Amino acid sequence: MRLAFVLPRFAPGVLGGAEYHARQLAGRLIGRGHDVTVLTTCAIDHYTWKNALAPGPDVVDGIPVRRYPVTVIRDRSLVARLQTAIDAGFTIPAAHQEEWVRNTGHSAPLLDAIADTADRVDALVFSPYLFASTVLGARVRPDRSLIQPLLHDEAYARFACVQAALRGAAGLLWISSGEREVAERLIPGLPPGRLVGAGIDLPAAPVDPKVERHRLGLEGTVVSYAGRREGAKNFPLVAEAVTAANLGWGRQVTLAAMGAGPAVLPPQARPFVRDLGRVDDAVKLGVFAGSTAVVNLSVVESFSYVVMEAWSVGTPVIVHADCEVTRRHCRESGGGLWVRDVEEAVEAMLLLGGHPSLRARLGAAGRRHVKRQMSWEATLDRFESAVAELLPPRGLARA
Amino acid sequence: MSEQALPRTDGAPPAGDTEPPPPDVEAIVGELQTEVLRKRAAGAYPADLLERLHTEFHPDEGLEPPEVRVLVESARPLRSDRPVVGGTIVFGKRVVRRLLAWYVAPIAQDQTRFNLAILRELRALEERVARLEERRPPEPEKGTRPRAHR
Repeated sequence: MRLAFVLPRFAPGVLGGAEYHARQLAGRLIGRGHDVTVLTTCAIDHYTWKNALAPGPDVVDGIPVRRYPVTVIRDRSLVARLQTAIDAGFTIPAAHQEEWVRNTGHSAPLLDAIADTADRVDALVFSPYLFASTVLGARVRPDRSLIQPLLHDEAYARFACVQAALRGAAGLLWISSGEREVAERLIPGLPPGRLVGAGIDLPAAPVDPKVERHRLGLEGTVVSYAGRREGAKNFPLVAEAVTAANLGWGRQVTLAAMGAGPAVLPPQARPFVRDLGRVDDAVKLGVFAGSTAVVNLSVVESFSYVVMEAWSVGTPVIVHADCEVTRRHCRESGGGLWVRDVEEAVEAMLLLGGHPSLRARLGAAGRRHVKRQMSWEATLDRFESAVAELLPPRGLARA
Repeated sequence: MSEQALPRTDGAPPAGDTEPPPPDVEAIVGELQTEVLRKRAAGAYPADLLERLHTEFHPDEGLEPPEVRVLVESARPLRSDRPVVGGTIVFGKRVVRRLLAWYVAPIAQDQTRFNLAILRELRALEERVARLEERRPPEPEKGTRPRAHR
């Protein structure tokens, strides 16, 4: 197959679940002999959308890339005003929704490149759903466009222009059944889609749960968190539950918090939180393996690599009942529990901490789920089938 | 779009192999929720501590009534942290503020009028909901404490 991935940013050092997923997928498809190119902007920073990289061809991790300059300079004042209204829960007018999207790295040359490329590939694959490269890009040749939305329940998923882009695409590629469920609830009249999932590499060798516990001096019930330590990801609720377990229940529970930036918390929480900062993958998996549970109480997830990584080392998870995606992961695998508030979170932590056999059974179920359904080989098989079914190959000659 | 879960395409156990069934997490979560409801109804949880922690960990939630912020003040306090040129900077700011007052002050007044109008409507709606709730028959006590954690 010949494929063009269209992404808002694609460069070494660009962090984020969507970018990580696209890089893994594109690289592994090339490994299977497919002809893959990434069309993207010259931007790295998704706040400023400044053209930080040179336009033209490039190669990132062995993946051919063509960059195009962002041509709409971000109107900070306008975006700040719109963002205030969006964050306050207001529905902004459709014209302003379109303006908001145009301020997320819109590149006119990128749209021209999409038009030029559409007839030379089997599919244009856009991701994630809310940026100009997808919303405006998928309009160029909707008949050749597949969107991998990576969507969750948030204001942008209700924008008229975003919904029109999703409805107009030739097909949709879902990363989780929970994502599809949310999208179908929010957006009627979606085109056909296929559940593709995502891949997780199981550790090559078993991860010793004692190593990081011993090195970090972690004792008793330890729950771990990895990701952005901010309100949007419900990190304060995790820390609140751990503090409550210690101060209100009189039980020793430690939170091992990993992620970029400082974990800003009330003073009461500090004795119970080990801020490990940014750690490499080996340390993260070691801490996960040594934890009673990995806690992710975010309600805005389209997949959650953290949940899969926890299961890859046999550790159960505690997720939020209001997150359809992670709750569904737990229900399908049997690898985790879901909670609604502090009291339930504390009880779940203490339940797993006090019942090692239950913890082991949940962790093993999660690991089996990852092994069976989240391998890259299975994911690539599903991706190839989905593209072939949604956009039958056109027998294009290789360039 | 008929499939409900990812098809087993890799790593599935061969036919005949047995493996333990996954834990019934629905049942475990159900028991956990029931236990929390029971303890909450029995007053087994430290309610004061939980309320205090909730305020500390979620400072943006429900601190002040909107009336506190309804009046928009166009004239901000003037200050500068610069040690030497601070006085000159404050004087400059004062001049700019005075020059722009004719433009900024009406905007602030318009916003205040809008805030007041919205707040009046909101309070009227609140009273109407309260009246409607009074007319409804009481629901059985469930022992739950509504609190949004998002």
